[in-house]
Amino acid sequence: MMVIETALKALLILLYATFVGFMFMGIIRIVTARIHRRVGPPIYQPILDTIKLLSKKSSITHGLIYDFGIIYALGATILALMFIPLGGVSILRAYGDLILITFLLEIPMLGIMFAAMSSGNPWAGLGAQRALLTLLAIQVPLGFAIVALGEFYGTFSTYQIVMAQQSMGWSITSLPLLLAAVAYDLVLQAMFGKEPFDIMIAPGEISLGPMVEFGGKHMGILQIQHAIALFAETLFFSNIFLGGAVITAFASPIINTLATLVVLLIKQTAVLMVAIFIGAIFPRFTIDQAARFYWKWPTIIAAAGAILAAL
Amino acid sequence: MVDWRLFEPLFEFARRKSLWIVAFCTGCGGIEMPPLMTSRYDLERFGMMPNPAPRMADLFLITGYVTPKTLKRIIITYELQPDPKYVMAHGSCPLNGGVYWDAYNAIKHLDKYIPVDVIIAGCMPRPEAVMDGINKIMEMIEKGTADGWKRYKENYEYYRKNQDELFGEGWREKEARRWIPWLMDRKKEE
Amino acid sequence: MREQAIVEKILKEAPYAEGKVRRERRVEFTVPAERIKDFLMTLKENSFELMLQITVVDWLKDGEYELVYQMWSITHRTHAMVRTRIPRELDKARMPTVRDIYPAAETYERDAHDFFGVYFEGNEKMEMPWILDDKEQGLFPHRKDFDMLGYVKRKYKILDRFDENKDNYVI
Repeated sequence: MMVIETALKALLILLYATFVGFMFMGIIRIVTARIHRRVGPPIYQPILDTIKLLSKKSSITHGLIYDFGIIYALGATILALMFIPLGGVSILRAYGDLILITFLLEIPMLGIMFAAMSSGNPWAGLGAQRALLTLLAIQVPLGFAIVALGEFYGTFSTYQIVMAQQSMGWSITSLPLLLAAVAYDLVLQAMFGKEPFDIMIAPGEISLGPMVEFGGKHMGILQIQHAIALFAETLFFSNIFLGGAVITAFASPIINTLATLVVLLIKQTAVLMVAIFIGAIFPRFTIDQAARFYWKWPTIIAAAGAILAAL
Repeated sequence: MVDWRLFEPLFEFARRKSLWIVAFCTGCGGIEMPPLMTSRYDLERFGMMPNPAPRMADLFLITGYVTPKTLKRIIITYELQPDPKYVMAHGSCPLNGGVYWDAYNAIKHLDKYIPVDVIIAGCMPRPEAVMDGINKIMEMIEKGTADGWKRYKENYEYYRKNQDELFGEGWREKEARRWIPWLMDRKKEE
Repeated sequence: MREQAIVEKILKEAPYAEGKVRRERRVEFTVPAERIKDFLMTLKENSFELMLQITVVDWLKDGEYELVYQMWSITHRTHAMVRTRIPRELDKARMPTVRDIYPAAETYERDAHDFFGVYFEGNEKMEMPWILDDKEQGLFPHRKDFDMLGYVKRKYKILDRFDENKDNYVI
C-alpha cells in the first residue's frame, strides 16, 4: 500500500511539475513579447511545440551516448525534483541535502553536453565548451551561498531550513542570507540559460550551441526536461530563501496541500519574473566577461554573506 | 501498443500552430523578415519562431532569387530537416526567374530541384502577402495537401536528375572537399 | 582650393601621371599601367589611407579594359580615382599586384580576375575559388562579348522560351 501511494504521489508531482513548467515557459515567451510590445504566443504554445517535436520522424542518430545523454538529463532533473520539499506531497524531502540538490540541478547540463559532443557538430562542441565554462564560473558564488545557508541554520537539510523559516521569518529578512540570495539569483540567470549569460546557446551566433543537432523526439524530451528544470530551480529558490510554504491552518489535509501549492506558485512566479525582466533588457556577455563577472561580484557578495553568517 | 494514427488530428493541429522557420535568408526577401518577426506584424502569435538549426525546423522560407551556389546549400539544409517539412518561396524569382530571367547565375525554376508547397507572387511580396501565404500553408497542413516532403521521396530520381544536370555528378562530395587543398597549403607554409 | 593643392603636390612627385579636380572632394588621375605601383605608393605617402574598390570597365570598341582604383583619404576627406588602361585580350590583360601596398587589394583583385579575367601578377591567391561556381570558372561572364542568353539557355535547359533579340519573349 505504501509503495502504491508513493508511486502515485511521484506521478502526481511529475505531472504537476511538467504542466506548471510548460506554463512557465509560456509565461516567459508572453512576458518577453509584451516587453517588446508584441502580442506574443498563447500560453500553451510550448506544449504544442513539444507535441509537434515528439510527432516528428527522427531518422538520424549519432550513437548510444547521443540518445543516452538526453535520458540522463531528464532523469537527473526528475530526481532533483523529488528531493525538493513541495509542501506535504514531496516524497524524498527528508533526504534533501542542499549540496545534493544543487549538484543534481547541474547534472542535466552535463548530460546535454555528452549528447552534444557525441554528435560531432562543430557548433555543438563550441557550445558545450562554453556551457562547461559557465558551469565552472557559477560554482564559486553558488558554493559560498550554500555555505552561508548552512552556517546560518546549522544544517544542510532543505526541509529543516524550510521549517526553521516558519518560526524565524524568511531567509532574506536577515542580512547575510539576503546577500546569499542576491548571489544565488545571479547564478539562477545562468542556470535558466537567460541573458546576459546565454552565451552557451547564443541563437544566431553559434546556432543554439549544444542544441543544434537535436531534432524531433530528442528535442521534445529536452523541452520536457527544460520545463521540469524551470519548475525545480524556482521551487528550490523559493524554498530556501523565500520561506517555502507549510500551511496547517485548515482542517482538511487536502486543502492544506492545495494552499501550499498556491503559495509556492506565487513565490515561484515572482522568482521567474525577476529572471525574465533581467533577461529581456540585458544584452549578452561573452564567455570571458561572464566568467570574470561571476568570479568578481556574486563571489564577493556571497562570501560576505557567508562570513557574516559565520560570525 | 498504442495506435498513433488516433492522435494524428492532434499532431496536425500542433504542426499547424507551431511552424518553426529555418533562418536561411537568400536574396532580397530577408529584409521582409524583421518586420514580420518584430512588433509590427509579430509572427510569434501564430507560434512561429525563427530557428537557427535546420534539425528542428519545419518551414523553409526561400526569400528571393536563388543562385546555383545557394541552391547547393538549400538542398543540403532541406535534406537535414526531419520529416514533416514545408517549403515556401517568396516572389517571382524562384517561380520563373523574375527580373533575372537572362542572368547566368540565378536558377529559373526552384520546383525542379526541391518541392515547393506555396509560392507567393510579387517582387518582393510585402509582409502582408507573406502572412497570407503562411495562412495558406496552415490551411494546406490542415487539409493534408502540403505534401512536398512526400513528393520529394516519391520522385527523388527526378529531383536528383535535375540537380545533377545543373551541378554535375558528385557535387556533394566535391563541394565538401572544395577548400581542402587551399587549407592544406596554408598549413604547409606555417 | 584644397583639392587643387593635393593634385599639384602629387603630380609634382609623379610627373608621369595626369590629374585634375572633378569637383569638390573628388580628384582624378590617369596613369600608365606599368607605373601603377609607384603611383599608389605616392598616394599612400600623401595620406590616402584606404583602398575602397577596384572596378573594371570593359570598352569593347577600343579593345581595352579600364581599371579604376578608388582611393579614400581620411585626412583630406577626398576621394581619388586612379584610372589606367590595359589591353582587353585575355593573355595580355596583366597587371602588377598592389597588395603589398594596400592589403585590401587582394580581395578586389580576385574579384576582377573572376569576372573579367584580368591577371594580377604576384597575387598568389589568384587561382583560389572566389564568388563564381565551378561551371563559370574561366568564362569571365561580365565581359561584354560573353553570350549571356545562349549560355543561360544551355545551362538551364530553357531552349524555346525567349527570342534571340530579347525584344519579344514569351513566358
